[in-house]
Amino acid sequence: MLVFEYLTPLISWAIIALWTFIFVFYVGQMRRRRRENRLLFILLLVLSIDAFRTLFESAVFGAWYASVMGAAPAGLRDFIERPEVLFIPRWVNFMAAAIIITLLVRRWLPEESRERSRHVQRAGELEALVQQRTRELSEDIARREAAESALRSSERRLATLMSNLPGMSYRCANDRDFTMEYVSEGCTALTGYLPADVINNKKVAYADLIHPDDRDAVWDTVQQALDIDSPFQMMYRLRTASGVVRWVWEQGRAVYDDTGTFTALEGFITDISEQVEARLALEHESAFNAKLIQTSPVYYVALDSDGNIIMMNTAMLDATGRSQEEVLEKDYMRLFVPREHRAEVGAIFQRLIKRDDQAYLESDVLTREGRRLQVEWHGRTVRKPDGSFDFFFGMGIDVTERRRLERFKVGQTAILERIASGESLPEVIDAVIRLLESQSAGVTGAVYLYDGASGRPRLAGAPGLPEAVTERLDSEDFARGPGRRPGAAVAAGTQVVVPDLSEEPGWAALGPAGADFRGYWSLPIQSGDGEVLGALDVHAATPGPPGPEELSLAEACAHMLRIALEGQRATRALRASEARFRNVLEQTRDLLYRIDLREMRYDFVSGAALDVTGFTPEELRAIGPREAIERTHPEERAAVRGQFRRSLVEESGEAGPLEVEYRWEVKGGGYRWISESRSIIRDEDGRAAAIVGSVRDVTPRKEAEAAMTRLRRYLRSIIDAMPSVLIGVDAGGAVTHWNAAASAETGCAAEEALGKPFASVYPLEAEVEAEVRAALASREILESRRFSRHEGPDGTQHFELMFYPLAEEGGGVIRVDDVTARVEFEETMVQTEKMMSVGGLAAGMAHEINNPLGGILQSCQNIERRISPELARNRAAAEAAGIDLAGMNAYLEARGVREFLRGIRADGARAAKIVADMLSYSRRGGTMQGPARIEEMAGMVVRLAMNDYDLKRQYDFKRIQILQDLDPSLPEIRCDKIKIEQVLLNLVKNAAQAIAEQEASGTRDPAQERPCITLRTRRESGHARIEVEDNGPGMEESVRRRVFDPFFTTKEVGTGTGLGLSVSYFIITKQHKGTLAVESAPGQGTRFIIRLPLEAAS
Amino acid sequence: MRAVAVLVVDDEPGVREGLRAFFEDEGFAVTLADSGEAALALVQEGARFDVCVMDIRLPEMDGNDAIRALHAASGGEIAFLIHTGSAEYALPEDLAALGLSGADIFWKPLTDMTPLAEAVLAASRRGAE
Repeated sequence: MLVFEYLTPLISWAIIALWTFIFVFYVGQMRRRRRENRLLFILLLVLSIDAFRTLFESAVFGAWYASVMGAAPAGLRDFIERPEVLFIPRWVNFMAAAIIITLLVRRWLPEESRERSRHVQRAGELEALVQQRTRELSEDIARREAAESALRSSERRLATLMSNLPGMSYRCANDRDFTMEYVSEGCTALTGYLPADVINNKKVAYADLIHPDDRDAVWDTVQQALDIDSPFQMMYRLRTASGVVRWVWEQGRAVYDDTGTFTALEGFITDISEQVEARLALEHESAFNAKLIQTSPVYYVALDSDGNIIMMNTAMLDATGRSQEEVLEKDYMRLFVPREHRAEVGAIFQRLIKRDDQAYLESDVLTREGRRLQVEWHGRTVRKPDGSFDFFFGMGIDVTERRRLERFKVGQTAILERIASGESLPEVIDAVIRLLESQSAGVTGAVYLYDGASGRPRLAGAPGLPEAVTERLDSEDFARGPGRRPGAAVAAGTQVVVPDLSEEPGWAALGPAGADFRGYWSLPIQSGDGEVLGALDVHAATPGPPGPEELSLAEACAHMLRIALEGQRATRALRASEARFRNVLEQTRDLLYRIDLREMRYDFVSGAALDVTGFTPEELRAIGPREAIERTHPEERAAVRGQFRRSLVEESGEAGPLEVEYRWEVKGGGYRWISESRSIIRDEDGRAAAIVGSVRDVTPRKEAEAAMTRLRRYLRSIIDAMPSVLIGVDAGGAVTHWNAAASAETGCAAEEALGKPFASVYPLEAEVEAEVRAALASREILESRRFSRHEGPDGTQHFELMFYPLAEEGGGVIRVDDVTARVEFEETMVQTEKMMSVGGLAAGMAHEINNPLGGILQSCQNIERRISPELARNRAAAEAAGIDLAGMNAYLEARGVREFLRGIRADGARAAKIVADMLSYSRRGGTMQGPARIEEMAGMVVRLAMNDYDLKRQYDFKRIQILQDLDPSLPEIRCDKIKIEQVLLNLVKNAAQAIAEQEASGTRDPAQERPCITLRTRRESGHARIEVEDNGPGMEESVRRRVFDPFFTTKEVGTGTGLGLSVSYFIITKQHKGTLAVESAPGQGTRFIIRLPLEAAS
Repeated sequence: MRAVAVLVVDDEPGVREGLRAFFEDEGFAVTLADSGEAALALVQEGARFDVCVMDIRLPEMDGNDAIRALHAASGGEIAFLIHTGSAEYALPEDLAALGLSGADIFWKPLTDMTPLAEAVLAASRRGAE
């Protein structure tokens, strides 16, 4: 009962809580109506069970409840502690059950419920159904799409992968064509065909691409693999579209469908040409090396550490007459090395095994027959990776032939030396034949020389043949026999080869000795011009034609013989020329003579006497030496005579011949220059016995020399006449030439200057001097180097220096020209050009500026007039406007308005002035030219200057003294008086302003003389010279150079136009054809010099 | 006495108006034209002038041609003065034959218009004689 008491409220509360939860949950879930809400379904199941339970409980246990309850609830506490006392009316239970059942019926029995409430629910349900279907459908589609796209992307990846592989994947039929159903992009790179070309054999069947040699093998491989149902792999060659053969590697397998039927072959083909070719190349290379070793003419041998042969190449085996079997594993030393070399070779071999890696030696190699080959060996050891000896490898070059040739060369050199030393021909011939015979075993030689007398080759030497044979060979009847005869090359004119003399009938006459004469070759001995001089015959004991070595040996010998024969001919020719030489004395054009001093007569006079003197030798002899001397030109006669006497008196005097030159009167009058060379012949006592001499006419040379001297003098005077300073210097810079201009300029005479360093006699600025020295050293031309000198009465002088190096002797010529005039002219040109450009500019813009300026200036004037009380109209207008004109004027004055107006007018006027100044460059001058006196103009200028407003404002002009230093002889000049006055006034004003500024700035030295401007005139040749000189501050060179530049001014901005001097310059130079120059230096004042052409000049 | 009738021909308004103001203050009757053609039209319409102040550089017809045309159109009644800014201007010979001289040329810009006004007066008297 206790249990019951506690259990009852617990269950009651649990039921209440459960119901509450169910209700809340249900309501919540109802909001989210989802058909497939499984959770709701389970809950409803639970709920329905509970509902039945409640129904049952309320029905069956209702009585029990009531009995337990007994009385009505006592309070809240009671209610909490004993909820079972709470009275739940039966209708509540009923209602709850009814609701739940209804709900359940709606869930579980949809058909019924639809039937029951068809009208209400049909639309909603249909809608839900459609929604449901749609949702299912779209989900289905989405899933399928996702699957498809996954499939596609994986396919794409695969395709990309395949196309990027260096090769092609394929799918093909198993027919003889391997008809392709699919090939990847790699097909193009692999075969040169596009995939489309190959698929379905469109252009080409894949099988046709396979190299014909491999085609069957490929087919067989595939079929075998199919038979045993296994994948196949193979390597074969493909021929690409361009014809290139490629090695490919293919891997494939058969593909079957679900039913197990064969559908296609699938696989992948890769280009492996590179790998295959590399491997083939490697194989080929090692095979090649092996072959090289075997076939090389060089000997190769490999030995193990015991000296046994492990390899020997064919060349060495052949040369030594051995076979491979004979030598392998045998001791090399015993088989091939001569006894006396063994110790040396053995030592080298041992050394190689131990340390050295390479060795060189020359040693003989024995052949099987015991002959010796001379071989140069290059040996090296081959070591194992651990450094221990593996085997010895020797490489030998057979130098036997080379040594033989060397021996031949030695013999040849000896013979050539004998020829050179003039040994007799028979000896040389014998030596050549012996050399020939020593070089070639079993041969004999004979030399025949063509003999003009007998008309046939005659034997000239055959030292190797018995005398009986030589006699026979050289005999007349043998030589006239039939067929080839001894010295056959003489008759043939070329090389003759007879393989076997026994077949030549004529040679049988040699009898038993002819047994040694089988092979025969005869070589011609020809001179340089092709004449056949003889023949070298070679006879061999064995029949057959000569080998190339034998032939070249014979050729070399024939060549030596040719040299010997030609040498002999040359000697003969020399002897002949000696004979001819004796005539030279008579042939020479020099007169040769001999004077017998005892009898004082010519005892020999050569035929040239006629050419040189006009006298025949006989005539000259008749004249005799004494008279001959008297024919000497009076100027030289005494000297020649004295010389002649001295030569007689002096005892064993001068060693060599004496040479003299003099003029000599030839036959028929007239003098010729003669060069005589004579020697004294002395007798045993040392006394002069005779004179021999030669006389040559040197008149042409003398004349040339005289011409040269004249030319030199002429050039000298030209150089002296040149206005340029010309200084010749040697490589060291010492003066070698000094012309008159140089003397005049420096005051240093040529004699004084010569030999001195040029800089010491012709002073130059250090910089210029350095440049000249550099040019002298480098032998380069120094061109147009200008420099200036400021001293001297003429002011600044400009010079141009040039240096020309002399190519042969070194040194060079310095030329200095006074280019002052040119420089000034150039400056003028530049100046004029500048001004013309300003003039042109001004003319173009004057109109454009003048018009607006006119507007401004006119307006100002109108304003000034219209505010003036003087004009009646102004007064009337003011009255009408109710203004007091006088008051307004007072106002305008007070506020400075009138001053502003005046300012506008003044500035406008200044602008107009600038334009007008600029225009004056372009306006042609000379229209107003007339005669004028300069002093009048000067006076006018002084007056104007004194009264110049601008100047007066700046400076008390009376403090400046104006001097006039006028040349009374100066005539009137034609000029534009106004313009010239303008120029002079401008110059005077400039001078005054400069002085004023100097005083104002306090830089003028108070101790200096009074400020002064001098107007000076002078008459010069053709010119009037007008100077405007001041003792003001002067100016720097940089300023001086630019004073005539348009717009150049040193005055404050706004004070001057910068055109005054420029316009002056223009007026003087362009309009009056004069010059305007300025001289100035800081602190030295300034002088402007005007030169105007006088009447005659203009 | 009738006021002097002056015709000012100039394409520059500033110059034109400046002259007009000054001449009017001098008591002249001023007419303005901005081109040779306009001036010619005035004369052809019957306008009569004693003096013409002529600019030379004009947009279409130049001052020399305008003088020739005006001279012909007016039957030689007009006296001419030249007012130019062209630096290179030189009086053509045929105009010199009409009685024009260097003294009748006035160069722009005029810092003082008085001489021009005096010349106008003088020229009008010359024409009247």
